[in-house]
Amino acid sequence: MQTNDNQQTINAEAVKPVVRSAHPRWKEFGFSMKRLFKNPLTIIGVSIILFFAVLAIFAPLLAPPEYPDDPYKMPHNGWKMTPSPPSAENPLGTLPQQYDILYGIIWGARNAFKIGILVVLANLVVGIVLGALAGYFGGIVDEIIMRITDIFYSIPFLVMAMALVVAIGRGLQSIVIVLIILNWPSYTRVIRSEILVVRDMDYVQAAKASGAGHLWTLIRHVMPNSVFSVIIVASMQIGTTVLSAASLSFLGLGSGAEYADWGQMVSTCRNWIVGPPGDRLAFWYVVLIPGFTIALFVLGWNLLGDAIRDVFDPKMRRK
Amino acid sequence: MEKLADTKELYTNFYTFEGVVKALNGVSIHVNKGETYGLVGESGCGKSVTVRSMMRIVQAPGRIESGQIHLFFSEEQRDKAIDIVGRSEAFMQTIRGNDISMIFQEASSSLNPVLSIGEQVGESFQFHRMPQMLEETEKRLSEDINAGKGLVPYKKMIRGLMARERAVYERHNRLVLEIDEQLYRLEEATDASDIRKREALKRHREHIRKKDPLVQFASHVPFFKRYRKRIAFTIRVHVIELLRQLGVPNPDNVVDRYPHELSGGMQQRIVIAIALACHPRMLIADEPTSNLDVTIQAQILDLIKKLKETLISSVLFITHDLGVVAEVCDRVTVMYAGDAVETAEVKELFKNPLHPYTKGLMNSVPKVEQEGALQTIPGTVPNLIHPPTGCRFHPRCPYAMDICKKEKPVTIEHSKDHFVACHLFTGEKHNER
Amino acid sequence: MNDNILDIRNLKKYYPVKGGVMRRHIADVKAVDDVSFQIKRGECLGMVGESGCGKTTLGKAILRLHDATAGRVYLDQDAEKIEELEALFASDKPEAVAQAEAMRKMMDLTRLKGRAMKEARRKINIVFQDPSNSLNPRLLIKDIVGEPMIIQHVYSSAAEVEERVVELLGTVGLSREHMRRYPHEFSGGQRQRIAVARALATNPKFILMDEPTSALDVSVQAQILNLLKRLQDEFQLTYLFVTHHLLVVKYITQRIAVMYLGKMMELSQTPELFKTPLHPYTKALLSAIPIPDPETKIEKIILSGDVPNPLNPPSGCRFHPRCPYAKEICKERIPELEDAGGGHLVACHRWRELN
Repeated sequence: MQTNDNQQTINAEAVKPVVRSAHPRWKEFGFSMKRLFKNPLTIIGVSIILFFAVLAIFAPLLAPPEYPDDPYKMPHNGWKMTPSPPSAENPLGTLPQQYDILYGIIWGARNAFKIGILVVLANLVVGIVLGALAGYFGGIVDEIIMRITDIFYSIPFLVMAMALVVAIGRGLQSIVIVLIILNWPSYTRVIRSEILVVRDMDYVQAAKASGAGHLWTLIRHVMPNSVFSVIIVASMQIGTTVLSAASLSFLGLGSGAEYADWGQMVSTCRNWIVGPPGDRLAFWYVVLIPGFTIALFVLGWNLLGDAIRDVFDPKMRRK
Repeated sequence: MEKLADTKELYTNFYTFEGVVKALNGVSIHVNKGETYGLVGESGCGKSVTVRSMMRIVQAPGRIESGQIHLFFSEEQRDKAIDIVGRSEAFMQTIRGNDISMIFQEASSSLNPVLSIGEQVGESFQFHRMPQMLEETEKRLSEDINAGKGLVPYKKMIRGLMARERAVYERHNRLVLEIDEQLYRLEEATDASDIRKREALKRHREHIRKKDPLVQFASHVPFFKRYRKRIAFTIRVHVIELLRQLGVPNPDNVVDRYPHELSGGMQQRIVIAIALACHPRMLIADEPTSNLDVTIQAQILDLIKKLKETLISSVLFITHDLGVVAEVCDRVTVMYAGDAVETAEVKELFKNPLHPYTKGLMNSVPKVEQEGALQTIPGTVPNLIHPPTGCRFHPRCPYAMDICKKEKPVTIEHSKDHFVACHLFTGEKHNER
Repeated sequence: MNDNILDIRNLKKYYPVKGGVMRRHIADVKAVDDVSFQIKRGECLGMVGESGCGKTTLGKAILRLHDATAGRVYLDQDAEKIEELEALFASDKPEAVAQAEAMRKMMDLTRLKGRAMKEARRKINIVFQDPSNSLNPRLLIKDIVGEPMIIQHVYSSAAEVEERVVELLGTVGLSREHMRRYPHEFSGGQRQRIAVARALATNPKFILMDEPTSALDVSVQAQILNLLKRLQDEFQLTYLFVTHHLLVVKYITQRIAVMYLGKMMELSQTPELFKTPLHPYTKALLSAIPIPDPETKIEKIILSGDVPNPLNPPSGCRFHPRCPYAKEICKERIPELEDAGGGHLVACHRWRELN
């Protein structure tokens, strides 16, 4: 009896029954989302981010601007230098020169998102392009790009940042530009190392054997399989970027005193971190509230990045 | 033949994200003294899980659900079977490497790349044979002292230290043996106070430590610590001897090398050396030659055959290659999807395969005198999270009957020493196992 | 035109080893060292050898997945033209060599560029060893199997491509429902079938099988081997079947080549190789196969030592350190492939005396 290998080669139980269901990509996505939200930390992280997003989007409603043409200018009633504690008028207290902290937090959320997303997106683009070229082509291209990356790595961040800001001029835009210029190397490295692994996989070789050119292979095979690690790095970096921007603002490189930006808010309170002798914690609200907000923002993005990595990391996937 | 180890109705499950993988479905096998026992099957059939359950090293999320595993080790009481399913981890640690050893498929990942060969093989001696090593070192020191070599007082002090350490080991071993005796006697106890005593003994056994304050001190203080070097030298001598027995060329040289400097075949020999260092009663080999080239495989199989006469007594050989089975094994069990479907002597199995899966397997392997096309077994290995009902092979079996879907077949003895689990044969009157 | 679909001459693949402070080229790993042979149309040529023998490298060099260091690969070329070109190469005159180089740019697979290379790739393809690595985990089966056709612009519309994909899947024993799934939903054997379907997409004439069943279970291996045999008959394909499993190669091939450390040791018809092996290495290899029959006891030739490193190959005959019959001449001179009669080639100085 010659067993025809065509008959019954597929065990009906081994392959799940076909239903007129959604496109398999959506099914995979749904599955990943379910996995994502099983983790309690994810829910916390996403809630935090959503909270800030609500603050940012509904800022005009929650804190009507005093100066309609420039909503980022914080309102103040009075010119007293000493910050005022939380009261009915200023629920979270005021900064020196009586700028309202609550207003600053709400409109600062917008700035935080702007800084984080702008910088990270720009870094992603630069990092992915350079990293892909370096990893895929190897050889001299790899050497050149990696040495440039090394040069950028070796420059002390703060020194360079300060120099650049002095050159371009103070302000939040300068900080964003500086961060874009200085932060891309890590993305390049990450994606380059992933590509080095993917490049030697058999399916890339199979595409080459069928006649695929470099561009086709890169876009269709190499990138989709190596980009996840960078996405994870990127999501965590959104929070860290805001932190870096806040540090630069604290050093005085950011915008002026009245601008609604968290880092800048802490910066103006430099002299009021420690209160008068006998009541050291008199001005707890000027440092704690903006500082805590920054920390919470970074925490949210970090938790989200961790959760995304747990779900999407190919090594830890279910299969 | 006398039994060395056996399992009875072993069920092991893996609790994974996707569901419960019922890896073993009531496996009952036994290994006799002095034989090479083969476990054949494809991937996913549970052969590795079976031996790992026997050694109690099933990886999480796996767990032995039910069943018994017996080891017949005692020399005096032949039938004294130790059931190791419920035993403590400390007990298992004295057995592993000492009475049962295991070697794995990838030799290169079984060896630690940052330790030299001598250090790794010596570990077995360090864990299980310390009293003997200490005694030998002491003897050597005594000879040196009598011959007046070197700093005699210093050597006397070291010898004293070693004697103390040896005493500690021996006392510990004696204590452990006593506790084990008592535990064995209390094994079947149902009386409440006996049960309490048993639990207390178990806990005590887990936690007794080898202690002697002077030895503790000396093994940590830099200058006195040097006494350890002499023990290391004794161990090294044993290691070199062992490597020589395994046919490793230039053992004095190889002892100082690192695993990456050796070839695949040589690494596998070192792994075998580590496993055999303490003369275990049973060697479990989990596909040791599957990754090796054919000529190297021939070398290793030849080595194992030679070693059976000297160092090992029984071998449990796992493989998927029927050719290796025919060459090396005396008795064989064929496994499929967590069931042991057929067991027989090798010649009998090849001459007269009974189970449809065994027949299918033999027909799908290309032979030297192959006539016609290879017969294939239609379908694929089942998903063990939702295994087929009744006999797990029925969806692919050309002889499947109604009863096969409903009931799991019982293993019966079809002819002398030839056991099979299939409904095709239970109709005939044979002994129930 | 030509009975041989592939004609390989003096193929070499060396990997340079750079050492020292200045990273100078100090040595070569000679993975493939001057190999020449022909593959007839419609035949299945097996290539066996142990690790380090260069069989996989040779296959990939033929397919130009690696660039060969030297040598010519003629795919589907006119037999007379090949002889003409080879004669030009053999001559000393500089004009002849220059003319040879010019001709070579159009005939030699290792020298083709651009469009010519892409067209040549329509005729050849490959099936890899590990089915879990050879399919892009992020693409649907439909895209994976259809890709070669899209790259080569075989059809003008997506619908045609899809129809052809369904047809190919049917040929390998899968069906339309499997198109819209991801590779991880299939078992090893099924994935290997998908890889075969992909290799057939552009109707190639030659497929390199790089250990296609080594990563599969025994029963699945039988299914795939039967499938490959059937496809060869149905589509008149030519296979180069690279493997280390001798019984598999006996089942499926018509001729076998035995490789050792980058050189070809023996090449003959399959039944003859197993009945009368001439080279000592082949003899040892055959005797080492575990036979699934406990009654037959073969006298095993156990070779001493390990497979040596291709970085530092032995002088003369590569096999002489392990050969039980080595003599002085074996250390000094590299044996050439001689015809022992009826197309049975063997590279050994002493083959006459030993048989």
